[in-house]
Amino acid sequence: MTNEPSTQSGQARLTLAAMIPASVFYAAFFAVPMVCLLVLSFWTTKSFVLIPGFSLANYVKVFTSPLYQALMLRTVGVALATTAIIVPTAFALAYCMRFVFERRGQLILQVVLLSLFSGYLVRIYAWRTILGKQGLLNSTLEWTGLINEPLEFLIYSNFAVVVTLSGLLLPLAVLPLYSAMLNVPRDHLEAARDLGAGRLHILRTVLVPMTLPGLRTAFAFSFLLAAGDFVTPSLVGGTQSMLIGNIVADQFRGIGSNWPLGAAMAFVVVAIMLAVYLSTTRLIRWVTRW
Amino acid sequence: MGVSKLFGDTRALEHIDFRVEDGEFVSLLGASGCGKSTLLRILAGFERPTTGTVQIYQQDVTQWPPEKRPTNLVFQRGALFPHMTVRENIGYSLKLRRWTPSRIDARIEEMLALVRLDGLGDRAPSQLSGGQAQRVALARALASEPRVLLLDEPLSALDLKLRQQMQLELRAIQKRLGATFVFVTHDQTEALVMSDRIAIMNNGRIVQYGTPRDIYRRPNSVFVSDFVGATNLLSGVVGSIDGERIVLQTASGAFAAPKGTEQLRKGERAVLSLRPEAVRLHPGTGRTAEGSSVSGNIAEIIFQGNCVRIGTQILPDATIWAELRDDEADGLTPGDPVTLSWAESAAAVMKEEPQ
Amino acid sequence: MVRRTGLLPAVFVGIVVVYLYAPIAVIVLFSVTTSPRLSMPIEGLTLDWYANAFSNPLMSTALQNSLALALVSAIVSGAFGATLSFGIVALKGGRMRAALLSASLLPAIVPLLVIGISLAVFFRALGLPQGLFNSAVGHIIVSLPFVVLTMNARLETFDFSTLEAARDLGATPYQAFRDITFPMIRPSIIGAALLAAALSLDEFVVTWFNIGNQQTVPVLVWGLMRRGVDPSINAIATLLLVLLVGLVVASNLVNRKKSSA
Repeated sequence: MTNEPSTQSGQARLTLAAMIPASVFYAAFFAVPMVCLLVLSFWTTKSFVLIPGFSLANYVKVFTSPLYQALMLRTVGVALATTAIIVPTAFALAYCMRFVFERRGQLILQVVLLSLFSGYLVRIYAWRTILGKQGLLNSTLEWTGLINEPLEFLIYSNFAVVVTLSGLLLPLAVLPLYSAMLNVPRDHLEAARDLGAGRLHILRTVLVPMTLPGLRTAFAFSFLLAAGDFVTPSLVGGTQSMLIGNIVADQFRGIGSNWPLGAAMAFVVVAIMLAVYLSTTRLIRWVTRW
Repeated sequence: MGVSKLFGDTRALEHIDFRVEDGEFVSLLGASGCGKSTLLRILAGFERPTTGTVQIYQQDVTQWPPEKRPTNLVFQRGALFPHMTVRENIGYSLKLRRWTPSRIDARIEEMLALVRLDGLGDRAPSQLSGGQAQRVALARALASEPRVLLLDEPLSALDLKLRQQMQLELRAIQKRLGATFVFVTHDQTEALVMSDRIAIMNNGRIVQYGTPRDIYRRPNSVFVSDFVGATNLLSGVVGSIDGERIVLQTASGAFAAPKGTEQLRKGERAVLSLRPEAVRLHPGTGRTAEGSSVSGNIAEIIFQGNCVRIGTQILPDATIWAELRDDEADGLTPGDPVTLSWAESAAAVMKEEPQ
Repeated sequence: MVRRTGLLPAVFVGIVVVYLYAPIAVIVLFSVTTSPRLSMPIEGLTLDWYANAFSNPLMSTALQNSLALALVSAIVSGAFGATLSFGIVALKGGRMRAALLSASLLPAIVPLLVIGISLAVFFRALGLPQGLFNSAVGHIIVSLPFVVLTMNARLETFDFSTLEAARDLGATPYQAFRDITFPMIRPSIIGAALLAAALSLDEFVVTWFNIGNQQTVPVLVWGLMRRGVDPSINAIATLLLVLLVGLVVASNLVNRKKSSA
């Protein structure tokens, strides 16, 4: 009976009214700016003056320039490599927290998450300190006599970018995986065991399917955020490990900036990342189905 | 006081029309989903009837919000305010009514004494046991002297012993205050123990409204007789109706019963309901002095502690259960031939329900 | 799977924790060593870098701006996040609720770079010069999803029948909110606001595209980093670290208190 809204009408109206300011804020400062960015991506510039219009020139440029293509490819590669480190590590960590350390798992989670709040720039900078040519790792190795020449690949390389990004984003992937693991009843694992399933089999047929939403979120966090980062490559990457984010950023805060081109690039990056993300999650689901 | 209500196009409730007298303890009894909680929430003002009106003391309150109504509700799980002490919980409605602090304090003490929680006023709700929490909820709802107290299965979360004790206390409090209580429950024993009158609800309707004794002895439908207490049901065809007596022809014989409120016609299919405790059991086969009797062989004997239930097979597909005191059942074994008898007035005949 | 807490898992967790915390340890360590060349072996200890950091005239402006932004983010995000999540949890329809929740979490998965440049474009379209106000808006957008997420987790356990009880006892909708809802969710709001403050204090990317010539601590640090090795970076970083960890731990404690009450 009772038509829902009229029930505790006063209360319901009050809570709904309370949502309005926040919703307006989201619309005005998140949705509208995104639309502005999209509109801008179809504009052009002539000697630093914006020319409104509808032109696909920026998109054509992004797709035809060999430089941008190479950057896109490298970005996808670096982001995938980062994800390949983060997701299995976070998965194993979440598994240990849930099924090995049980109650102490919560504490480990707190410790892992706390590292997020040690400063974003600071952590990247710290990796430069550690991996630098005369940095902590090289100087320690030299001091102990293990090497004579500093290892060059450690810094200003794709290696440095991947290592740094992995450390940066790992905690974000642990959280959704841990909550997903909490939904896996211990009984299920024991039942699978009892039925004679091997470890790999349990992983593929029980653990992965049951934590799939968590895996997807973890994947999204690490892949999308790694692909969109421009601070890490500019601090620990070399000229050969610039990512697309650097170029986008330069279009907005650099010499010879070109906002419309940067906007177009941003949308292309987001589109490509979404495509890679969606196809990869499809792949995971497909693999776990048989 | 009078509550009347009519519903037209409704899903949860249909054509409900009932009155509660001043100072009465009325239970709404039914299985979950029968609409009893919805009805209570309509009385409290949390939900509005699609059609119909709610009147409290000749006043139409249908459109009144909960805070304006002279009713207070005791919630199923207490719904105590966790950030307030017991005292603050009880005094909340008085503060809203701008009573003076000294008057509020006095009233709180009075309420604490009423629910026998003296000295626990400064506790936080989280420090209370389940039974104590429900007492606080009761005290909180009673503090502002509502004309009608509504209780939504307030005892259902408690264990059996505590529940039985609280039933008696609630009843005593209601009698002492002379207040009107409307109590929702799915527990038939609870309703029988506490109420002046019981409204049995099924599929959004009130199917019977009467005193506990009436309802137990004179169920007006198979649903009620089956829902309230255990019963034996024998189906047959109405043979004859004369005056206050009705005779049902069944496969195991013709049985008479007082004519109920239901209109039955000769030749109609009907059901005879017989409470197990009304059935007497005599060893051997032979006629007995009592009104109705039937013979058969004992099929099952179930020991239940305070009594023994004996199932007697009277036909290959019909068993009648009798409830006996333990010592009455001494010496009986399955297979024994027995005769069952009961007073004509203990049986009731009602319409067969299509199902 | 049962009770075979072998050495392997412990070693694994240990390695991960070291991986996450080694950078932090390095920063704190080198903020107090004399060697300006961040390498082993360590020669001596000093607090000079802290003195150095504060002698930078930009530092006090940056710190003031950062704290102001953090305060604004805490208040606005706290208020918006609280009202929004309360509305979301109160919604009866499950699908509507899930959709609204996902929508409010969206800014968390859009790369900060994209949020930053879109706001820059937006404010430029409005003709608003870059500065602290623009950055504050960015900080609020960035922290809101996390505020909503933490608030939502807490509100899942909110007993809505207490609100009905209040109404039943004579409270108007407003009085029920004032006496029941607000006091009950206050700890969660404070916890979420502290989290928003921490996120704001650490925000760099969105700030970078919107702040123009103004300073915040991360913007200052970025400038110093770009210029090369400067040990006072370690000192500032350590200060920032202490502030952030303090805020997050406080946020957790406030939230925990609620559940035990």
